[in-house]
Amino acid sequence: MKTEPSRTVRFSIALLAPVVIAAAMALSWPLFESNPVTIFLLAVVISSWYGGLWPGLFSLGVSLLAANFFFIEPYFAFGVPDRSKVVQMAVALVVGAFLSVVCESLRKQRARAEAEKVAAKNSEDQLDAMVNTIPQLAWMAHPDGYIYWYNDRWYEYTGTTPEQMEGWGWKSVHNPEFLPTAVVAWQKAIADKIPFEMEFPLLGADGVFRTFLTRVQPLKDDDGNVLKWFGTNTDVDELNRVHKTLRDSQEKLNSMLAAGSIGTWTWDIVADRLSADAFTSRMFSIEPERAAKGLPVEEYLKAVFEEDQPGVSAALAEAIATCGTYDVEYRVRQDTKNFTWLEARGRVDCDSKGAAVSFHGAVMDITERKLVEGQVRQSQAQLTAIIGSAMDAIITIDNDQRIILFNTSAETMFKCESKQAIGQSIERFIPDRFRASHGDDVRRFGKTHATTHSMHSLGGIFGLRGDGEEFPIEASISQIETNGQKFYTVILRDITDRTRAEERFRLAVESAPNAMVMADNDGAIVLVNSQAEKLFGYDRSELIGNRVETLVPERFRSRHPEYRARFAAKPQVRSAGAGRDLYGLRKDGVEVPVEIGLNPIEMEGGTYVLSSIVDITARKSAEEEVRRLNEELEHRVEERTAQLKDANKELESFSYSISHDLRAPLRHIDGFVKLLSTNEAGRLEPTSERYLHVISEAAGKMGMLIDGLLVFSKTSRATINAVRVDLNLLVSRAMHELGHEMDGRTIRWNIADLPDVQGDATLLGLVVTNLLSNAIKYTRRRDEAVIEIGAKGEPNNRVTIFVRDNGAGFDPEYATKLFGVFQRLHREEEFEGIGIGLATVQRIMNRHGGRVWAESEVDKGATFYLTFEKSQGDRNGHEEDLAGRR
Amino acid sequence: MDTKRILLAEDNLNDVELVLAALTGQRLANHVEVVNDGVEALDYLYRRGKFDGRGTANPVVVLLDLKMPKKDGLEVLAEMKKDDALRHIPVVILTSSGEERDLVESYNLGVNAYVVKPVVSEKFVEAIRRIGLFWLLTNEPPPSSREDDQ
Repeated sequence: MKTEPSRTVRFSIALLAPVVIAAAMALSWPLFESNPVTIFLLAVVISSWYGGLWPGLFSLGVSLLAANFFFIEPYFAFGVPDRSKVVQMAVALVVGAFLSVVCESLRKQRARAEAEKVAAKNSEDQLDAMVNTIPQLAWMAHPDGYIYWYNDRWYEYTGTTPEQMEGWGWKSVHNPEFLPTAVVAWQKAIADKIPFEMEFPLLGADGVFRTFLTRVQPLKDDDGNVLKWFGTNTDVDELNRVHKTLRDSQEKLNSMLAAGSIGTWTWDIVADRLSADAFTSRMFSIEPERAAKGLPVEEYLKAVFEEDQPGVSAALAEAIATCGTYDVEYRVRQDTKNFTWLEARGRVDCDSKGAAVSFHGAVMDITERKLVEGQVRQSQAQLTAIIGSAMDAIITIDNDQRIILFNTSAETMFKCESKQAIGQSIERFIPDRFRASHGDDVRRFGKTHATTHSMHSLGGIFGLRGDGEEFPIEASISQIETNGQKFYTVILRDITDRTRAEERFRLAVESAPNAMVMADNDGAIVLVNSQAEKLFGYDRSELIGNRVETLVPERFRSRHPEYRARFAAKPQVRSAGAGRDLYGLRKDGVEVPVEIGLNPIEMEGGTYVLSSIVDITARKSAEEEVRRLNEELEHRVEERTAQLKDANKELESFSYSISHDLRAPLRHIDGFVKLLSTNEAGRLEPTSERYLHVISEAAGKMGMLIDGLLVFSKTSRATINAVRVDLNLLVSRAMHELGHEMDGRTIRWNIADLPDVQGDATLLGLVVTNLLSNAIKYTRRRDEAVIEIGAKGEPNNRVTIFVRDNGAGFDPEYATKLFGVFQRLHREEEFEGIGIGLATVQRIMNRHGGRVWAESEVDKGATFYLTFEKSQGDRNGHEEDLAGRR
Repeated sequence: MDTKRILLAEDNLNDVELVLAALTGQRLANHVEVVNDGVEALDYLYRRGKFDGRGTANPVVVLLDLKMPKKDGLEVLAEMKKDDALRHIPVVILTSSGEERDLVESYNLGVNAYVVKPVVSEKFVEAIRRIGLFWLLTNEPPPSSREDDQ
């Protein structure tokens, strides 16, 4: 702003201006000779414009004097000029004076305008400053609603920049939900030119919408046109909250008063009159009317518990002495049993000399609070007792790891007394190598919002006893925050014994001859032994923590968790996969046939399943081998049976052809020998006759041999139809058959009752016939032959039959030869025979699983023994008897 | 009497001779017609081949050896017993063996007698003689054994 020029300057200009004009005229002389006055009016105008009326008039005077002195005749003198010049000067005087006045007024007008402008500028600056200091958001808009200015609070709150807010940028901080309504209302206000008020949320820089009360006021000119709009946004969230709090406490107070748990009193100390309201009087068991009138304080104190009275009196006295306040808690008796806890507060008013005059106060029933406090104290005491008696060590530390609680178990565990531990760093009880990581762990835990967690460390965590011994522990930690300070409570358990037991278990598992894998309830492997490593080809570090399904072939894997669940539901020692072939999957992808035994193990942390796994590859292949061998054997047996059958068939056809083809020539020999001897009867030499006889005999003998062989071979091939056989019947049948051989003989038969035996009736009949035939034959030379047939019982359901004779006997040295085919111990001349009978007997007995043997001495008879399978059951009335008696 | 014939089917000529010798003593030998195998036996019975000119009378008995060339005794027996015209002719198996299966098979086919030729000649002669006497003299043959009166 320009300042007014000083008076000196103004008058200097008024003097200088005519001088300059005069100089200019002098230089351009005689140009202005005719009118040397008018030009000076220019100086007057300049002077009065800058300096005002008086400098203008001063300049006019100077100009007229200068014009008269220099440029009007007589020159350089103040003479009276001619008429024209006088007129000129008079006109100039008038015009100059007028110009001065005009300029003066113009100048004033300009100065006023300038002052106004300055004032306006000042007031706008003030508004800016003011608006920026108010706590509200504020802004200004053109009449059309275009906001061209916001205060700093706006930018602070919204976190926007003027560029972003340019024009209609404010819409970006509105909640889209409320924006349309706000825009419509704002437009209506603009159109109607009326103030506008509305609540809507605005987005803060922190991303939160808060509710603002927006007020907009139009600034109008005299014609009622809107010049601009002023707007403010007031955060009413906070306001609403304050209102609510206020309302709440008001209500609380009201309700307390209404419920009658607060009372007031006033004590006129000078007069010792204490007046109280209804609640107070009730508390002190005084009639309300008397209390309202006022009573000596002693009356009130009577109700106070005797032991609380000294405290109350002392507090009252102190408040009175210091003109101070009073705050005590005490009990008042309601009756003999009940009492109420009161909190009393008051203030003493003193006069100017410091003498107590009156005492105002209130009492409040705090029985309930006291009760709660008591409970809290009690539970605290309990907690302390629990902590003290806990089996686990309990240690509480603050944020700086200083111990503030150290219970009895902790003392025992760490071999350190509580008073020595309190205030120490917890690190004192942590082995060196764990200290750094322990601090990190605790800090990390402190940053989480978890309240508890168990502490882990690879390979377990350890504590350090006062005597320097390390020991394994199990620990869990919890945190609480009180008054902004963190506390950590650690619960520790000495697991030395358990660790030892676990170690022993581990060693036992490790030394087991089978592969062993232990998994937890979720199927995660927790333990494997080296046999398992060997079996599955994994390193144990690869297995621990992995799922047990890793070891199950892909095709069974999906079903495996179900099997596990089934075992978990009924955990007992058993083998896995009954009836199924089980396979393990090696790391190299090879499947191994296995047998698995399952064993539930109860341990800290739940039930585990210990599986013992046996690789049965070798057994499987052995089983396979056995099966293969069996099959081969069976195959061989079949083959041999077939061969045997073939052989039997051959033998059969062989004997068939023997019976046909060998007998025919013998018949022919004998037949033709007979024909020859018939034809030549009487003509032959006696020697020739004898030859023919020998030929005939030999043929006959040959025939018998053949027949014997045929019978013998038949006994080998014949099927045994085992039935119950009555030996008595067989004996009598044989004797009948052999009747012709006994012609002319004296034979004494001693035949015992014989048991039934199991066998083929026809073949056994042949046996009996053969033995009896022999007995008859070899007793031929006895005058009285004695033939005895008997039975001896044997253990094991066997029976021995013997046939004893008093015949020729045989040399026992050759007893074994007796049963050979065509073996004979007697010469033909002594006893005829072909040596096939006993061979046949032996063959038949062998085929019955029985035995035949003989005892004898030469000339002392012989005994033949037969052992049989004894037939079961009663001989009589058995169906099979009939078959046996055929 | 002349018309009564015994048919002896026997391939072994020694046996034929022994049989005939045994029958000769009884003057029965000339009643015997001998054929040497099964085919000839059937030719004889059906009067075909070299036997088509013989008389119509059937033999009073056929003595059949079992082991014969071409067709054996059992085959001849089977064919005879299948044919209504021949099944009434008595058949006696005359063989060296007493094998059970032969016995069973023969009786299954309906044989009239089964005789094992004894090795000892006296017994042999006796057996043959009895057979001859029985079938030629004792037994009344079926009517087909008579010569047709043409």
